[in-house]
Amino acid sequence: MYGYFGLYSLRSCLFFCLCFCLLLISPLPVISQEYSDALSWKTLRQNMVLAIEEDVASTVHYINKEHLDPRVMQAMSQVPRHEFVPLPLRLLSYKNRPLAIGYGQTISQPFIVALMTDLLNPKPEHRVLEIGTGSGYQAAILAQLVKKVYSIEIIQPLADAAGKRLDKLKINNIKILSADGFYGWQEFALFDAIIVTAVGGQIPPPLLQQLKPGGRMVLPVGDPFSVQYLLLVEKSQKGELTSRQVLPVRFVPLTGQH
Amino acid sequence: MNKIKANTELAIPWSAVFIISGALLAYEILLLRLLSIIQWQHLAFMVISLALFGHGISGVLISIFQRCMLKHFVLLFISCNALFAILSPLSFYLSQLLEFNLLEILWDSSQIYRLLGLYAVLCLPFLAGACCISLVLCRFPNQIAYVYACDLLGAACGIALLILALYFFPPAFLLKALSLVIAVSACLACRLYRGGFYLKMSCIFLLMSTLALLLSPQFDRLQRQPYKALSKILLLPGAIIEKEKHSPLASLAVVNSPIVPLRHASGLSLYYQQALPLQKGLFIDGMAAGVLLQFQTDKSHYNYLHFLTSALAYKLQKPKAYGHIVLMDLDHARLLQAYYLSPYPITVSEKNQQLIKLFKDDYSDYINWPLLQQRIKLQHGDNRAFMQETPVKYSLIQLSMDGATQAGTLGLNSLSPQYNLTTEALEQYWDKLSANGLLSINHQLSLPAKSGLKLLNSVVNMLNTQALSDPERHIMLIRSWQTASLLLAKQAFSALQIQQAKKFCQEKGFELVYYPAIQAEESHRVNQLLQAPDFFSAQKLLNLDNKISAAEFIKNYKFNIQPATDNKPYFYHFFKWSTAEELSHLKAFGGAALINKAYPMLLTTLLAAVIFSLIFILLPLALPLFASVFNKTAFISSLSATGPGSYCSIFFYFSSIGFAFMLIEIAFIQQLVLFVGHPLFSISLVIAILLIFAGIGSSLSARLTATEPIRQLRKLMFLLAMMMLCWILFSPFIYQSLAGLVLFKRVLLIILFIAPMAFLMGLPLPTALAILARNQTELIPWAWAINGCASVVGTVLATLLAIHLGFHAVLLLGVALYLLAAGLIATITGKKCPFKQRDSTDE
Repeated sequence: MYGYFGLYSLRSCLFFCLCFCLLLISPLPVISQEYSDALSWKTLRQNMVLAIEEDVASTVHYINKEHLDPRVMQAMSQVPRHEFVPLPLRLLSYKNRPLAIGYGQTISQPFIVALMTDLLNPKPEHRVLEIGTGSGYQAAILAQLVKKVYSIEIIQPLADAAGKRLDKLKINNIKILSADGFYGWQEFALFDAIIVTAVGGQIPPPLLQQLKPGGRMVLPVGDPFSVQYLLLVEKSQKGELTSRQVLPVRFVPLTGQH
Repeated sequence: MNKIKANTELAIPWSAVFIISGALLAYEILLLRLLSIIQWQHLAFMVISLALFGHGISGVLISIFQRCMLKHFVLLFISCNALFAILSPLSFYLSQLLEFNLLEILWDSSQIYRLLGLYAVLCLPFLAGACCISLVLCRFPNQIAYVYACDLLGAACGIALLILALYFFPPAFLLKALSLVIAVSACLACRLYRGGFYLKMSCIFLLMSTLALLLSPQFDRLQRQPYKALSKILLLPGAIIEKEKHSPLASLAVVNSPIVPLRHASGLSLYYQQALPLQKGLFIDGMAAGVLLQFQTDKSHYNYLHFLTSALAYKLQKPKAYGHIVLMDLDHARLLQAYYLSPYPITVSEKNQQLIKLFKDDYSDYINWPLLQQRIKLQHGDNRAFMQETPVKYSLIQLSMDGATQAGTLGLNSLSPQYNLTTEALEQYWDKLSANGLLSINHQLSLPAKSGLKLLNSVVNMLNTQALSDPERHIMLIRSWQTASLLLAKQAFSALQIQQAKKFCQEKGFELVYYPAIQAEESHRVNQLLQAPDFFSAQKLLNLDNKISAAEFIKNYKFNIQPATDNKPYFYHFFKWSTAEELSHLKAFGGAALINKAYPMLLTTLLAAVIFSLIFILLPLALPLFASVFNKTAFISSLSATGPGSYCSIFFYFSSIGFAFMLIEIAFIQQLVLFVGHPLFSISLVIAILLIFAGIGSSLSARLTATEPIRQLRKLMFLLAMMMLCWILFSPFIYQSLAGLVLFKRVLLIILFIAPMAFLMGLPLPTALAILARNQTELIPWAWAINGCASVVGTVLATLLAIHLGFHAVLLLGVALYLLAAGLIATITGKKCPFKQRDSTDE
């Protein structure tokens, strides 16, 4: 009788061990630093950029472009995204998906980062304001494309960590401030472009005032893991404001040719 | 071989059964509350439905090890009871450590394992508690009807007491209190059975452990999902929860952020450049639910209220006409908008009493309620019931759909009935409009359009039933960058009103999507939509497009935009199978938001429930076979049905009545939301009625079916079918006649209608178990397991069927299953197998 139970227990133990191993392996929760370094991040980054280009090709109809600005894609292929991702998730850093960075914040899906950057139409002489530094990845991308990036983060630990990270990467044209982003950064206004990564019900009037005539502002709307649409606010040379909702995906809501 | 010795001296632990049954149901409701606070309400419903597998597993365990378990009945009963006491808070604490994140489920496969872990961890207390009940049922088969009745009545008391307690104590505290009550029941059982020294010491040790666990500060902390609005707002420097109120309906939190002012004004025009008045954040179950605005003597602080799309309704009102405004659901900003933008008396219908108290008492000075109340009346109750009973005709009815925005973006609302947005509701609003009245419905913009188009389609559908010559002249639609407002006029919009709307939109930078005779070039000027321009969609829905009819447009649209009805009130159910594959491919291309997470989760839950049920049900049949192959049968009890035919009959009978009970229960719960006004009242009322009267039915089952039980049961099931048909036929009329009554009278009449059916629903299980108890006692736990598993599957299946077929179909299916069971009852027993030897306890 105990033999049967012994056998039964052994099988159960094996089964639970197997489940436990699967649980450990599937999310790849802990990847050692040595292992991470051994991987070719550059190759992964190039693959990510290729994936984004394919995505853009399928979205071309809606963003009215054959492809995203090559400078944006160049920046995407240069910035080491894995440096902006918490250590346990590093192996996933070049997957085309958003990742949690703590404090209820995420580092956006690379495709969305590229699209938002492209919508800002960044030029080398531009000065850009970012509200919501988060990990600092979006700022780092922008820093490759414009003269100066001003980034404001309300959560002090996130601002500090992003500052250290950008210093380590020797990206020197980003200035970070830990403050309420609602008021913008009057000291350095006006800005050629503004990107707001967290928005409530009101688009802050000070930000609209700190946007140059002819400037663009981009805001993602949705939850942290799935952007519902991107809002592009444009200020004409006369100071008139218009907004445009951009669905970041090729999707025709009607079947057939209607 | 499978001899179970009867111990006639053993008393039935009535008090422990009563307490444990009550605690099991109280724990279920408490978990629903707690998981709603830390996770999302509809996710909580699914998690708990699967956790209830504990009942099924307990039956399976006892089926397999019944000789051993019944031999050590006292020890096991007390141990399971004590385990239930410890596990009830411990499991919840462990479930928080799993950090399951629904938002990430599309991206991270580990979330699936975390979800399974959540199911497993929360299943444990139910398993321990249900084992106690199953053990008693199997140990005292000749008293089965009374034990089952005690179980049901205990459950009814448990839920009633918990609902009452939730008004006075926070859920986290009640979890501890419940654990102590269960621990006390273990001690009572120990005393009843005069347990030996070691048993008593173990019991004291377990009680001490429970106390130690409960005193641990870890159990006081609720770890809210970091992505919920409340968690995020509390990250702001200096932000604190200033006031917290708990009730069975929701947990209300008021947040003060003194350093970083809150600035909530959904969809505010880009043209508004001033600061917003000071506000405190209002959160219901951790989700944003509006704000409390500090009273300002200078009215110019409230100017921003003109810059919301909902303000259009006030601009179009005829200034000299008599007016009375009604707002559906209490929202301070919309209340002030009505107060400052119109001179009329205002009535607000709100179902959450705590929220009303917050305005009238706790924050009376902050919002200057004494001033506001001169023109504003807060009415406690459900919107539909209020509309039904009010004799007043209103010049403006304001309805907002942006209550649970965050849940809406997750698609979680798709599983929840929305009686405010059904075709019947719109008819009711229409009837209550005065001759010049306006209905204004405000909602969050979704892209591509889903709720907006469904709403427009529902309105068009309703107008078509009103025999209007030109329904398209009664509709107007505007939007900002984030919100939209649909206006419906009792009289066709006049040229003056159209001019006023144009001026308003131009001044505020809003987009006119539709007004009678709008031209394409008038739309999409300030707020452009690159995809699916809503102007063209509106034209098609109103049959103003020559290329495609409205019916064809609805059919070809990739989301379900068919109007919701009272029979199928799932307004936010946009899922279409034909689009599922395309949407799943779009995840990588930035299309994750298009995918509804709740409906696929419901299907996955159902699939998991079916698979686990089959495993659990087949396990007691398969294990003895393995045991006999290895000649190891000492602990494994073989089941003793009279052949495969009888196994099948037992399986179909008990699964039928398990399904039927839950289908009817869930359909009643969802349907009665309309009658009593809130899901939690509905859940409590329906479960209490079903349990109490099914319990009474169960206790009387032995008498009712004393002679010719099979024939009697068939007659009674036929009677149940007749009653249910009457309910289905007359429920719309019953609703209309009840709606005008006060809640107490409504509840009494509902009890009168449902109680007889509940009484009859309590009969099939104890009758069949009593039949099994006569000559197949060993099968009782297996039958109990089948019934438990079917209940779990039935709970999930009922929601799915209601979404697609409606509540009437679910009720009909429930009745059909009861009739099927009545047909099968004769086959569940038969001659004994010649090669099996058994002694049942009552022989």
